[in-house]
Amino acid sequence: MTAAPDAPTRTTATPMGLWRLEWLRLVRTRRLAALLGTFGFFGLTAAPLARWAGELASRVGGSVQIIAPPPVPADAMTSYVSNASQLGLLVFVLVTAGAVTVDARAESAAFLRTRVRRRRDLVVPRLATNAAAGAAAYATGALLAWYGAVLLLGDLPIGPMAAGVVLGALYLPFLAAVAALVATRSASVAVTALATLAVALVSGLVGTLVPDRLARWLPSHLVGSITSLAGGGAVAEVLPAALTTVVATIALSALAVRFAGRREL
Amino acid sequence: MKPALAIAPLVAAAVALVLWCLVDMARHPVRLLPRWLWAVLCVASIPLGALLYLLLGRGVDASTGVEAGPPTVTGGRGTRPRRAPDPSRPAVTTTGLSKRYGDHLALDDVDLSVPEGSIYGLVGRNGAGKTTLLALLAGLRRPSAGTVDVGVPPDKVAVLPDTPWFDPWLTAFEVVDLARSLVAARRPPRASIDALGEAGLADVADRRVGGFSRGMLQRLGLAATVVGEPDLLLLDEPCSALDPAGRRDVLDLVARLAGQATVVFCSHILDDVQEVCDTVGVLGDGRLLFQGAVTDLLVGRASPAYRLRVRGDVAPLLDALDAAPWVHEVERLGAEELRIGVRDLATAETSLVPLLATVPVRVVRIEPATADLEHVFLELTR
Repeated sequence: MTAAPDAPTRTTATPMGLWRLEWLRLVRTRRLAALLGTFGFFGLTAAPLARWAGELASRVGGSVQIIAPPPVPADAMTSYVSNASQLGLLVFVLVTAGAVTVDARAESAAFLRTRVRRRRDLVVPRLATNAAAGAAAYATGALLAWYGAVLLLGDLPIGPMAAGVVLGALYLPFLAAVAALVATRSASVAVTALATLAVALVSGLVGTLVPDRLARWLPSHLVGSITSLAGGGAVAEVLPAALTTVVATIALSALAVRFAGRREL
Repeated sequence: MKPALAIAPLVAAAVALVLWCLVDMARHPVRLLPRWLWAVLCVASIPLGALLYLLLGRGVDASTGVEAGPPTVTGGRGTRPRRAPDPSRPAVTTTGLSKRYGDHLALDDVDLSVPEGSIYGLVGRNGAGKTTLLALLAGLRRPSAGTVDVGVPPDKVAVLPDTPWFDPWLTAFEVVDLARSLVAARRPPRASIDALGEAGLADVADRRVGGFSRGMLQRLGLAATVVGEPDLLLLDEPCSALDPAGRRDVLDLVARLAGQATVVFCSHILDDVQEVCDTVGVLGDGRLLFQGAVTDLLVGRASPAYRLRVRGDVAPLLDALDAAPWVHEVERLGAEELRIGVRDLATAETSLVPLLATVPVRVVRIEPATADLEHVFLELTR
């Protein structure tokens, strides 16, 4: 090969590793910006929408008179959760599926698979980084919505709200773990994303069909935790879902590690 | 006052988005519309214009990504002592190795034996099973039958696919250093720079690989392969995308590895295999047709032949050769140059010159043709 030049080579010497790889993936591919932008946008618009929804509807509706009840602070959080649990989760699932589907490019997968020492190295950095980024983005949006609600609509209880934000954010690592498990069997980002969304959808659907005493144990029950707690609900109502979600997240992650790298390239 | 405070972050975010888009379009290529029109759209329609720009207008600028420097590191070579290879001991052995994809038998009962420290050339036509065999050796696929025994630890096996691909947002240094951190963490980051230098990529160490040509990616893949000082290298067509100078560099590198590491060199460029490999395996339709030293293959397998250069019309000569029962085949190497394969060397030695005397051509040169891998390969796989 060509001999190395005598002149010193100037380059960035920040050592690489799998965790830094995932951080760079988040930052350089603007996945982090997409997550923060999406959840942040819904957070910023939640309180104004709740505050002036009636006026906006009347202006759009023309001659139709729309009478809405006076907004309350919890409406801002309901507006945020409503948007974040749809478009926000969609963006999160797409971002996460793109990261955890290691086999999406066979050449890249061969590079990693023949170099990592432990199977968990293929899964844990990708899963943890994306789950943390998603949860942080969700919490950021919730805090922005809370800020707007306090300014425009009135105070919200600090303790239950903080608990609601934390418990609601637990749902995103659960979805990331689902995506990681699906990705061990799939080489397609689209398949991983669709399967993960299907799990989220079915989980939500089951929650509406089964009796309440069962529904409160489903991970999807966490989606509405902020709304529930902002509206005066007790933390204990959401704890069963939180417990299920944490256990399921750990179990799914363990399965993803177990099956990682087994699919033939 | 309170509504203003609530709206202020939203307005600030929208303004920041527009400003960011304006700066971005000033520094990077844009698509679909002229730059000034995107700027007008962003300012006139907040924030829709900016969102449209983000979705549709941002161009691809793959060559960016140079990051400012400190800490700066300089070249230098750290090597580790290697155990002297033992050619009598196989580094890789397969026994009855078969791989089936549905009804298609891609590999059929392959008994491979790669001596330690050898450069083992694996040749075969397209679809012969070379890539499948390499994937099985690397543990990326599972055999349908048979066993693979690799005599080096997994972290000492390095694989280079024929079309390497790396995340385009990583720099060349980051790709190689990632490989170093995974398989040779004890080596300092400067080892990554050395590997890039050996691959001829020192000048582009800080460039993102999204803008690399296929040849540069192949060099980068090779740098990421050798940085871990592997004991077994599985190279799949490492020269396929390289220009002549790059091909020469890679062949020199592979030749230098002889005796230090075991290399399985998969290629359809037979001249390359003949040049750098000491052992060769010929695959045909999933079966191992030959395995052994290159010299054994060339000496024992090729049918004898002559190279003949003449002046004049070669048509009568071709007719005469076609009629001769001791002629196996005639290949035209040029307008006035032939390669004459013969069935029996003794008969040819007594009959070729008299035959030439019967046809109206002038003989410029006649010599025994040395066997080369290409002809042997064609005979084996015919």
